[in-house]
Amino acid sequence: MLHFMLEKLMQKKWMVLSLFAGCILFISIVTLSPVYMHGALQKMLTDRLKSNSLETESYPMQAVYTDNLKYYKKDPASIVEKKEKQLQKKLEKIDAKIVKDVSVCSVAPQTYSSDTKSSSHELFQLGFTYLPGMEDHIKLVDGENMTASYQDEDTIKVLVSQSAFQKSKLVLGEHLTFEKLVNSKKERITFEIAGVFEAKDPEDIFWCDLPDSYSKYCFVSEDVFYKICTLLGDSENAGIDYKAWRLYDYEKLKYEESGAIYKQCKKLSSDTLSFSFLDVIETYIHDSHKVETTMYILQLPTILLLLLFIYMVSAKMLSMEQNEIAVLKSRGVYSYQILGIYLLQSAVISFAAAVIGLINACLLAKLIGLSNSFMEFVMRKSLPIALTVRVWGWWLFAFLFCILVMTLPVIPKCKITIVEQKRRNKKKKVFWKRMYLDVIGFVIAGYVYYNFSHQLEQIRQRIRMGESVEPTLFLGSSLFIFSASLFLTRVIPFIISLIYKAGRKKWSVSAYAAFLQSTRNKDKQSFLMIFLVATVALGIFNSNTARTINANEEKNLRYEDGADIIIKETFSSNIAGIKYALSKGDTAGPIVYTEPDATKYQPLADSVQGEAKIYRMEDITVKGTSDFTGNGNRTTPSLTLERGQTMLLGISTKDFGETAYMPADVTKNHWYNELNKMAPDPYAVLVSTNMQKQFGLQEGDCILYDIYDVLGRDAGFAKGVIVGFVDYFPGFINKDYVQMADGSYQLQDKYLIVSNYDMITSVIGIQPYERWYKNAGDNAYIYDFLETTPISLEKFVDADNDVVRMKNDPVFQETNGLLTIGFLVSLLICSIGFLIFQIMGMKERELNFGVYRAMGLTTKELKKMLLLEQLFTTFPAAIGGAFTGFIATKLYIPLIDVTYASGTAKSLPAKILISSMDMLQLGMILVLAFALCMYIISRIIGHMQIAQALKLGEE
Amino acid sequence: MEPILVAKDVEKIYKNLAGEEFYALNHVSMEIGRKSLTILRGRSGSGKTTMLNMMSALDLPDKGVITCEGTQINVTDESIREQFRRTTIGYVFQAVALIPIMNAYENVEFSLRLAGYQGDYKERIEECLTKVGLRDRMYHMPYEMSGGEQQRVAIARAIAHKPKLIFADEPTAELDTQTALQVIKVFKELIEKEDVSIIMTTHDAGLFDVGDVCYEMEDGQIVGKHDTV
Repeated sequence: MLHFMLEKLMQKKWMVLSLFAGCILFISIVTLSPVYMHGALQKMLTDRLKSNSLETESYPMQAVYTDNLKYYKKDPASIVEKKEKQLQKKLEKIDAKIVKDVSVCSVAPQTYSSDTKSSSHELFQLGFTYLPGMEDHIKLVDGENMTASYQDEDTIKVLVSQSAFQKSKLVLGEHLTFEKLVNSKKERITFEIAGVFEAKDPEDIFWCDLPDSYSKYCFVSEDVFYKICTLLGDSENAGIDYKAWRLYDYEKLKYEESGAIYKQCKKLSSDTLSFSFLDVIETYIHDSHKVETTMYILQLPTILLLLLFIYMVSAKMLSMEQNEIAVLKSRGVYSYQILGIYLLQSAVISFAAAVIGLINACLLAKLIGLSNSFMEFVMRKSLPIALTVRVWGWWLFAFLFCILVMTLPVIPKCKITIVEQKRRNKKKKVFWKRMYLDVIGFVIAGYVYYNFSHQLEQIRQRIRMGESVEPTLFLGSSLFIFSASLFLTRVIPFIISLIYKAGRKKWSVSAYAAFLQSTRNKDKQSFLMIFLVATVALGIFNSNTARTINANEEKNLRYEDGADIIIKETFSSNIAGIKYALSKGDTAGPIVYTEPDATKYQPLADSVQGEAKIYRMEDITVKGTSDFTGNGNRTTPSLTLERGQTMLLGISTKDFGETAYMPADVTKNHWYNELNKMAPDPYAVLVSTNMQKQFGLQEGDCILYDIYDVLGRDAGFAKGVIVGFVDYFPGFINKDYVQMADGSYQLQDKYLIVSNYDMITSVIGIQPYERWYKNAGDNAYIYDFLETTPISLEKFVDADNDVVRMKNDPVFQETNGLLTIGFLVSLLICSIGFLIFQIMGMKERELNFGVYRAMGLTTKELKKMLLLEQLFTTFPAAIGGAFTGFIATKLYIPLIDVTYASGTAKSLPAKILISSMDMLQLGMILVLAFALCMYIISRIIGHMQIAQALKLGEE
Repeated sequence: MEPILVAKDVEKIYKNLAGEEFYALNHVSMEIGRKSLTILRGRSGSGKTTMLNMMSALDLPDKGVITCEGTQINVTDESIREQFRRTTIGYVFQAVALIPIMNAYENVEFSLRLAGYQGDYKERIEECLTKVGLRDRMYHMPYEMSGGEQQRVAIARAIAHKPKLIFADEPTAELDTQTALQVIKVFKELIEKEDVSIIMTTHDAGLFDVGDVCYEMEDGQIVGKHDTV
């Protein structure tokens, strides 16, 4: 049996090879998802925890317990010990690797008297802290160490951190006494500020709270601490501030376990016990679902295509072997034996493919990790790849499925004997035509489109609120493409037969034969046609989807940033004095800012293309004035905008125009026109279109805008004459999600007023402004500049950096990676499939060709006939595929794009981007495959001996 | 009467798998009379199909001359042979060999188109199919017909463009005796009404006396000739 099978495989080596290639691709793409997901999700989790730790300046994964332990008339030490044990027990439930446990006990600051300060300083207070194990982690900056144990009547030496030393204005050697802290003789105990310390290593995880945070405490030994507690214990309120941290090894946290840990932590969370990573894991879990769903959905069309390919090739092989099977069957071979041969054959091919497929899956997963854009990869740290149980599971599934798809078509065939084979009615319609699967598919795809395109806004909101997207949203496009390929396969032969009938008399011999071949043989060719339409359409759709999503996201990010580089330096001001005055209830003048030295920015001038100073103020109110122009009977529109609804930009039009980023294709007129309208009049303002529509504004109307300072006080108002309206403006987000009282998000309009920079300065004086820059080349200069120039940054934006961050997002990576892979796979199998089918088809028709030739058809006519056949099948299929791809693009990309914009409201309208380069590549490869196919066919025909062909046919 | 086709000293040499040369046709000469049914009879491998292929310009002999009405047809110029095949002859193949994607009508029509037939297609096609007794099955596809019916369509196709010669390679091989005799009967009627000569091969010993002339072939040579006229 094995011998028979191997011989069979050798005979059809080209078909077997392409089947093999199809299986490898199928198995790799199916196995790819768990491999990639493992790597990407793990990396995403670790990265998220790390970046959260940077933002909150705490250890990435820690549990924090804070409580006040009352110990009235009890032993404080045992109370603390009991609490510690309780806590240990509670936290045992959390199944994560512990790195360190830290705890600290303090008593609240008490008023002290000092020997170096006058009595007026008696307001000064100091508390006591006992931090177990601190001696290994500190460095004495000055003085000596603390007293180890309490001795009655002795002076107790205590340590303070540098910040306590400075902020509490302590002096080394200063003696302090506290009212309640008395020795056995009822004399006040003397505490001496003996030493000042700092952390040996500020990065040391031991310092969950840095020494500087203990500015109102002095550090004492355990013995002294509990002595103090006991002395203070006669009050009912006596309590110890107990704080404990448990640090977990976040690098060892597996993403599969994150869900369980989240649940445990959520359960344990209380007023006293908090987990720093809870929010991070919560969003992570939500996002990881998105990564997973996106992965499956993006893979699906490619997987379907590959299945179609495998089925097509194996069915073709089978049809070539039909006679052999029938002969075997007639000679008494049992059906199950025939099935056995095919099962073995499928298993051998699948197994070999599975081995290579697994390796391939790992490589592809790494490749996706490197994807930067569609058909573009960059070098970055590669993903951790591991063969988890899930990977093996999927791999096994793909392997078995492969066998199934290859063996399935054999089952009905192995029942047929040679007699039945010859008699078999070939006229039966294929099942999808009988079932009208194409029509059903269209209806569903149309429903998906209709349904979702009417509720894009709701979908956006639902995504914003963390709900997962219905997969049907994504399936719509795949369904549409596959239905269209079925439909076209039904329609194209029909159209061709109409053309044939229209000119029946006129057709040449070649055209006559070609027409009949293309219209009569449609079921045999339908697979190839479905396949061609689907691959071309998918290729185009994949390319367009990826290009559109990338371009829109990037454009949006840059637009919302406003410029390539934004620097906002901290301005010095009199704000501290004003705050102090206000706190005492005094009146205070306006905040006066001092502009930092601007000459230090001089070196940047050579490296940038544009530079502009911009005021950006979010805290303003806007009112309409009675100065409304227009026709006389127009009443003043009730324009009133509360604080926080409007953004005010103060710009110098020329600099701004040269610096800010504004995509050219979002406005009808160039936005410079609007800037130019503003330039001549200092009072001129531009207003966003949404404000115009909301309040019925017209050009020439006047508005008053009131600016509030950082303390929320009215700082001054200015008049503005509206000279133009803008839909979009660099840095302007016209809609934003606002969280409502019930926790839901609602999309609300944001308004914009663009005023002249100098106008604002003249009204409220110089304010902290942003410096916007347009890069001339790469952005390295800005980092060099920041490194060498001492600037206290309040805000720094690097748009390039934001784009890079977006591209590192796993959802984007997989989108780009998978769509690229899908595109390449469809190109590859389309070419292979096309070649195989055409050439095998030629071999099958050799007898026919012999007959044609014997009847006097010339070689040239025969070639012409075959070329025409292509024109009637391949050509319309490719064109139909292209149409399908573009229609799917137009219909479904706006739907898919929504889900990628879940983070922000997305300011700019989505523009579909079609890369002519990709289309050209696709077209070129198809043409190449076609040319190669025609070359091979003409070689076959050229070498054909009629007599031999006839003889071959007879056999 | 002058013969329509003359073959003189035709030789064809093939190499077998061992590389040895052997004569598929060894100095074969033949004359085909007008309005006659010529039968080439012999076991398989005797060279009868090879001879038929030479005479129908499907293949080229290594030596010898074949002329049809004075024109040499065994020439290397493929286009002359193609023209000959298109217009002057008709061919009926052993394994039926109708074009599977065309129905009976279209199969016949195809041969008319090939020959550039000037008359009315429909009339001629119906005429030919009537002659082979299949007028009512005109629009049936080949797979909807029996072997004998298919063979008769093949004959209708072969005569449609009014060729002077019809070559039939084992037209009865896959048919039962009854059907085979029917086919021969059709042949005889055609010779009568259509003014053609038919050359057919057969290995069926029972059929040698149905033709006007019967050549016995063995190992690439003619070993006997029976004239029944």
